[in-house]
Amino acid sequence: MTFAEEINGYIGRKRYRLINSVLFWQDSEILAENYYNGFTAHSRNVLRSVAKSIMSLAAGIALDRGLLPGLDTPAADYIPVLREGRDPLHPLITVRHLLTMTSGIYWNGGIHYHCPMMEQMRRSGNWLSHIADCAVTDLPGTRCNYKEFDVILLAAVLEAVCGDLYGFIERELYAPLGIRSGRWYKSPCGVCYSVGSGEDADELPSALTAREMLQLGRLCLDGGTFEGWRIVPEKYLREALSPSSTDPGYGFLFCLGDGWYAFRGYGGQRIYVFPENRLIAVIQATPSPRGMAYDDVIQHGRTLLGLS
Amino acid sequence: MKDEYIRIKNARIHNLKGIDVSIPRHKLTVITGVSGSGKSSLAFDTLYEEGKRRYLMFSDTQFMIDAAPSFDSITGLSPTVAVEQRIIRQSNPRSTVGTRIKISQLLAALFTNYGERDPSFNDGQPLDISMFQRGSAKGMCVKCLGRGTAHLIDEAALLADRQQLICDIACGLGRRSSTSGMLSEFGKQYGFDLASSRVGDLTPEQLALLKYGDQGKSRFPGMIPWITMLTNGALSTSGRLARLLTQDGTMSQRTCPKCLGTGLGEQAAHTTFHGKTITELENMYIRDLYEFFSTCGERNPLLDELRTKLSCMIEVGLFHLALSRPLPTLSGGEIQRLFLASYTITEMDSIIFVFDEPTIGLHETEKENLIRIIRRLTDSGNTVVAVEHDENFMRAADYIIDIGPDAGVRGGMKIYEGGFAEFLKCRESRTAPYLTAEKGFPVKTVFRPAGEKRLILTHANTHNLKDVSVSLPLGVMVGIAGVSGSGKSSLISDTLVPKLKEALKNKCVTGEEEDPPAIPRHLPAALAGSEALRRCYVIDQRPIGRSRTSCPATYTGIFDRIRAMFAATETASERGWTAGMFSVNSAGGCRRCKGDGVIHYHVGFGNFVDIPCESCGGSGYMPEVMDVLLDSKNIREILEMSVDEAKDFFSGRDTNIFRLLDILQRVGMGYIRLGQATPTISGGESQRIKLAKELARGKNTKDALYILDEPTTGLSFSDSERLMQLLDELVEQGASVLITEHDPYILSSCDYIVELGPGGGTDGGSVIAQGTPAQLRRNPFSVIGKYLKSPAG
Repeated sequence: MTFAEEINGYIGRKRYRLINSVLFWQDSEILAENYYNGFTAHSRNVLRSVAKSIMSLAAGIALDRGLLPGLDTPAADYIPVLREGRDPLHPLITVRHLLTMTSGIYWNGGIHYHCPMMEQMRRSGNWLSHIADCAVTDLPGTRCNYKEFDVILLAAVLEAVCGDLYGFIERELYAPLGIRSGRWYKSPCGVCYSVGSGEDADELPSALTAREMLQLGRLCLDGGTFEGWRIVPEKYLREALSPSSTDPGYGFLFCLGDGWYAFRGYGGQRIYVFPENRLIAVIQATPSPRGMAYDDVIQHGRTLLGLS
Repeated sequence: MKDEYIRIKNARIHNLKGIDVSIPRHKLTVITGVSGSGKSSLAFDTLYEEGKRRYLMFSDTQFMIDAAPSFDSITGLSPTVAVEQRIIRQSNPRSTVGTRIKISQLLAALFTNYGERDPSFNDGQPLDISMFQRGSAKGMCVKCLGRGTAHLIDEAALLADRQQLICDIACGLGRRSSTSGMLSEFGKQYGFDLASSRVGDLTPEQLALLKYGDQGKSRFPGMIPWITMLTNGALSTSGRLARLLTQDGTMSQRTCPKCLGTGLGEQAAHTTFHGKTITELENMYIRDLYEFFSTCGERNPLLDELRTKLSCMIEVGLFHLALSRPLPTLSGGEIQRLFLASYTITEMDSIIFVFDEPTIGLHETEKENLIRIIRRLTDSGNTVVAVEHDENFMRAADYIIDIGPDAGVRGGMKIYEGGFAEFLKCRESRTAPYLTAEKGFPVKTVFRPAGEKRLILTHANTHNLKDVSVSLPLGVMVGIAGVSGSGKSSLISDTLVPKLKEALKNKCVTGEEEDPPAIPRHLPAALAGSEALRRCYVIDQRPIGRSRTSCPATYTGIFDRIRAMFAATETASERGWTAGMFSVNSAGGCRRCKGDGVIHYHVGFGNFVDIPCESCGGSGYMPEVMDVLLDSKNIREILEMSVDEAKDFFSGRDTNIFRLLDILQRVGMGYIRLGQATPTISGGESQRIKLAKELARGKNTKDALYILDEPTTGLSFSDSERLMQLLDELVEQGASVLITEHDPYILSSCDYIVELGPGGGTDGGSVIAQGTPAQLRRNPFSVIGKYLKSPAG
């Protein structure tokens, strides 16, 4: 049985019916590329929080271009509602805090991360104004609390410095990697947020194919270069993929583990990179709370390859 | 043939001396006896615990670990529910009357389905029930997180004193260990020293840095962000700084500017039902709310359900509460009736209800109503067992069980079991004689005349008070009467006490060091005559101490002396042990259970079982501490002693301890154990312990004012009599006593009564009668008058 068939069998045995694509790549060679539920190499799956890591790469590029003066720049410099004195802690929030989920703004993720707080925000007329009204319950920079608000604020900062965030991503990141995507959703208040309201119509344009996901992994594996071209500054990427001071399992919008780092999105969207083995694994799935479990497919693949 | 009795054989928990009792099913049984005689051990620790255990085991929801059996057999049990006061005191501080009884959920559903939306906030998407629930992340105001209030720092006031040292800003914040390191580092970088530089020495740039920080370059975030963090955010654990700054005037609590105090998000704040928002409805008195729903002329299943529930609340006498009222602010009696209301709503039968003094805090007229409701429970097939001291309640009972004769080791025997009529003839009982003319409760016949010295409170308008002006005579015992919600607390706790605090400053002792930061506001009232007072003691029913390990011994301070005595023993000094070794909170605490004496095991589904800690055998102390003996008793054994026993033990050994125990005994607390954990101490007990502590200080009581709230709560007739004698002695020594009270016996023993009323809530708030008990008995406007006791014979 081939490696691809073994992975197939494993997914079948585990009854992971919502997985749509699995791709294993090692050192320029595709080891397995399986599609399910009628999906093909050309089918697209939503990004969910994979978009966070993509925004982190965009922040690195903006820094390199000199658009963003530095990571310790106050977010309030670019977001006027944070300058209105709605909370005495707002001036302390920096871009670095947004990248490390340490803005200190209150967040309640709800059960299975269904984000009850997003509903109030979406129903408010102005997302940024709503976030600026939220209580700041931790001193900025002191506690990593995974939340959407920080990424939305980061999007607002990047929108301000890059002019048009999605256009910037498309030009500076996607085009060199050969990625073709639709425009990301933009809120009425001008925030670029790929999930949008959570409706398919908002989110689907930002979807990527499994091979496009692979390209993002390869970019990181090669230290920010792609086929010899420098795209993301090396220094930034190194920092982004190192543990932050507040959470050893989190860098700049990247999940980190022992010997790996990952772009991870809700419901099983995964790009895992194992730099020592030059191994990349991609999973895409129809989002469901079960997505957390699919990581064992990657673990199984590594076992078959004799890597663990 | 089905047995018509619940039969308990050889009950022997705590001080019970192997007694057999029978409790008739489907009847109302009252268990009487002096405080500490073993009533609760029988009703709660034996009957309720076993009834609950069997039901839970049967229904498979929980497994229980069998402790040593405390009885031989109990037959005739059915599912048992306890309606206790003290356990329920420890509830979630965010629960309110409405959430507890699930009316808030119904209201939320009503607004979701029938609410009228403000077109300018209508986003076309349907409403969600959680939008009307403060506790839900979808519904709560994101700024105040559902609290409705926020702290506001007055930046100008914070730095107004140009002479203060940097480390003294914000009540010495810079001297605290959490701040000093950070701040001194910050000062070094920007050229000032926190211990010698003064606010006036700083340049405007330095001042700005100090206030707002250097945008994260240093660890210190700036005074304003740091104080905000300590008072509003996740670091605000104690509330002490907020309290200090509030007293200092540099911080105020204001209504949340985003939700305007509703605690809810935008959608909820702009949805109404017949013109009212959900917050407005939750703030209405329950009776007015019922009225509102009855007259709104609409019918739907939710409204019908709401009306039913509200009428049950009114029936149990809770018409004067609002749904938004936080549960922890209710009195024990109110909480108990709240639970009673939820049971009457469910309409179950064949349940055994065990009540703990259900009449507490009720006016005579309300008691009659309560007895009627409890009667309805038995009529529909339930069994009710109540521990009770109230005379009328006993008279209404089908069956009486008297435990005694005295407290602690001198109690625990069954004195009587049977009908009420026969009970009156029971000579051994400490209760029965009071119920007959034979002994009766001593009722005052000679009243001390009200003299010149008076406290005059004018134009009080707090809560429901209707421009009340009263003149309270000093040097006598004054009773404040009135039905629940008539404004007694509004007048005394919420108007007179704050005014006295204002006038007497630190000479007004509230006994509570942990006052919540009061919202400084102008009280609409004026007080005169306080100059005649040298001191004022406000002795309330709030718990003594908050720590798990606090107990009467620690609260009254005698524990420090006891520990010192242990440390001075030969064994202890040989081993080089200090007093800390004899505290479970300090060096002597068991490492494994951290002084609890038990280990909490999670057994699934959110249930826990407590198993005695193996390391310390349940003592909470390191085993070797038990080797140290004070006249053959170790520290644990001493903490297990009741006040009565300990008084004998310390007699001639330590005069201070003896004196305090003597006073504890005189306030009726002879039965309480020195080491009894605070959470198991009722409000009435807390109050009497506080009173004892104040009295034991031995300060001159002349021209002092003692303010007490239902001081005889939970006391039997004989204990009440002793407490009243003690209070009377205080007055004899020149003190003034002011008590808020329902009990007609106690009120009859006052020299002067002020009665508020006539009803509760909007119907109350006026003085309806005042004068001596004898005058009130003749006053046609007085409600309490006809219940007051005339002198025996």
